[in-house]
Amino acid sequence: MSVQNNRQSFLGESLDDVLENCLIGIVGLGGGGSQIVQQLAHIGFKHYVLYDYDEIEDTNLNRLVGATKLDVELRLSKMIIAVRLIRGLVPDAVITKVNRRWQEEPDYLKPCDIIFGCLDGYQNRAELEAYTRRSLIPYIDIGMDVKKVDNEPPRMSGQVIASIPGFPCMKCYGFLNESVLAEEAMRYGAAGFRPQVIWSNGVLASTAVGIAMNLLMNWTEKCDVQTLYYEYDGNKGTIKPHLKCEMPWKSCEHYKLENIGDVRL
Amino acid sequence: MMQLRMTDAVHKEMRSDLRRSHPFAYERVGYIFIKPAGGAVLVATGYEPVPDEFYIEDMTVGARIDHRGIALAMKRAGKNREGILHAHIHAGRGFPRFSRDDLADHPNLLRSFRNADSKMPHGFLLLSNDKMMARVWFPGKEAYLDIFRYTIVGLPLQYDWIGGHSSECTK
Amino acid sequence: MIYPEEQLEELKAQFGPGVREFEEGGHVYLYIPGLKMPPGCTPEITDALLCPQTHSGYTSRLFFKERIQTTKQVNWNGQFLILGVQWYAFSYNNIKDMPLMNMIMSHLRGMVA
Repeated sequence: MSVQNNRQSFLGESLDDVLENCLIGIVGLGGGGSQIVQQLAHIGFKHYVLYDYDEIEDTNLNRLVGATKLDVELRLSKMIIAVRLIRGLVPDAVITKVNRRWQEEPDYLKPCDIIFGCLDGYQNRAELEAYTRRSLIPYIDIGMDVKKVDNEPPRMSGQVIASIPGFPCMKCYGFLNESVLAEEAMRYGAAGFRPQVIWSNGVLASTAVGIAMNLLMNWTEKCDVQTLYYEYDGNKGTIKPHLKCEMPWKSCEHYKLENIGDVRL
Repeated sequence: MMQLRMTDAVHKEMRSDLRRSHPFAYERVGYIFIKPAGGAVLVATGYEPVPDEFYIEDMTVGARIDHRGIALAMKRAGKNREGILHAHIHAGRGFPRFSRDDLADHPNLLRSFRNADSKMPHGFLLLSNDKMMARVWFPGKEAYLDIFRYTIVGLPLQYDWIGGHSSECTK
Repeated sequence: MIYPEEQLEELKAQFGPGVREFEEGGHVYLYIPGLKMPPGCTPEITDALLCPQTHSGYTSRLFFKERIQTTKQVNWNGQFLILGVQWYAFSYNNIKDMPLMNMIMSHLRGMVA
């Protein structure tokens, strides 16, 4: 075990090998994605595939981990900020940087061992889940929202969903459904002005990274009963297994094994 | 680096079947069906056992199957446009190695698999008690590729990832 | 299969043996390679994907490998990654409850009339 991993050696003997050889994909390097990048880099992961095409703006500074005011003045990309953060902790990190919408160049994701999705929009999530399921890649999604309700305080909520082939998908859970996809499509896919704050992103990102570490290391020795769908209540400050985790479930009818792999058109 | 992925359910089904004893064969064989997912990944779409009655009694080898045992794989692969990995287990731990008898069978079996679908990769999956490796021929290639990197997707992930990944790039 | 087998056979008879059914995300898609566009459209031929079920708020949807230049102005409001490939769709709703062939024709008619 390397000296750097001394304090996290409880995770298991194979930690050095996992950090050296696991390929992590992170799609979206904004408020949620930047937190995940930070945590994975601190843990010591070496190999990354990163997707984001956006430049940082003033309005991102309240939550984009690693960003500075100078970055805004220089109009740096979120990609550069993420890469700088990783290299500050893992100087020999191997990073594939895709400065495009992930749908334009998705194939870099296929060799990934785990993918984190930190995207806006339901359609985006649906497409990423379909893509990862086709390649049998575990996909961990995070997202948050703040809704204004008449005469009441705003309601802050969020989710962490691990979509693992062989286990319920986001459609099985009902998180993705025709109703939300249709409503979003009618708004021409515009996510709109979406409130986001750093602390809730931190909770969600930490939970997602925790799931990934248990998937990889089974340090709890209870990964077989790992919660795969957490709901976050920002008003109460709680994150807990979603009720849907208790639903009876036999198999995923949305992503059957016979439909995986590349499609030969 | 080429890698193989399968779900935990398929992996368990395969191991459970291959471990069963046979009335006279020393080893059991089955088939994992595969498809490419990009240029560096093969994903397993399912497992099919070989029925007991398709084995031929031959004390000189661990297992021998008749034409029906091969035809069942070809039929599925041709219909579903899949690749075929002929699978069996060698006792022991660590990465297994093909025996001389295994290697002798490869050319004929590969020819049959390629007749089912020449555009898909085909080959042989060999398991030990704790690891697996695959020898795969890709379409149009005479040389095979040995695949040692694999992931069994379940809770938790099971994997052997020694060997790393390719170099970085910017798009 | 969510439609009678003979409807798929009808598509194959009309558009060739390359017509195939795929599934993804709980949706069924009929792949139509080399679908001929209505007169006046550019390109004249492209690959298409029919989803005969509710999709993104539409009762059925016809996706194209590329955005088609049409004689009538249509709203290309859909861009989707399906089966690992980028597809485009224009806004045209309430095509439903009809055989697959009629569905395709109705969607194509939406580009010109």
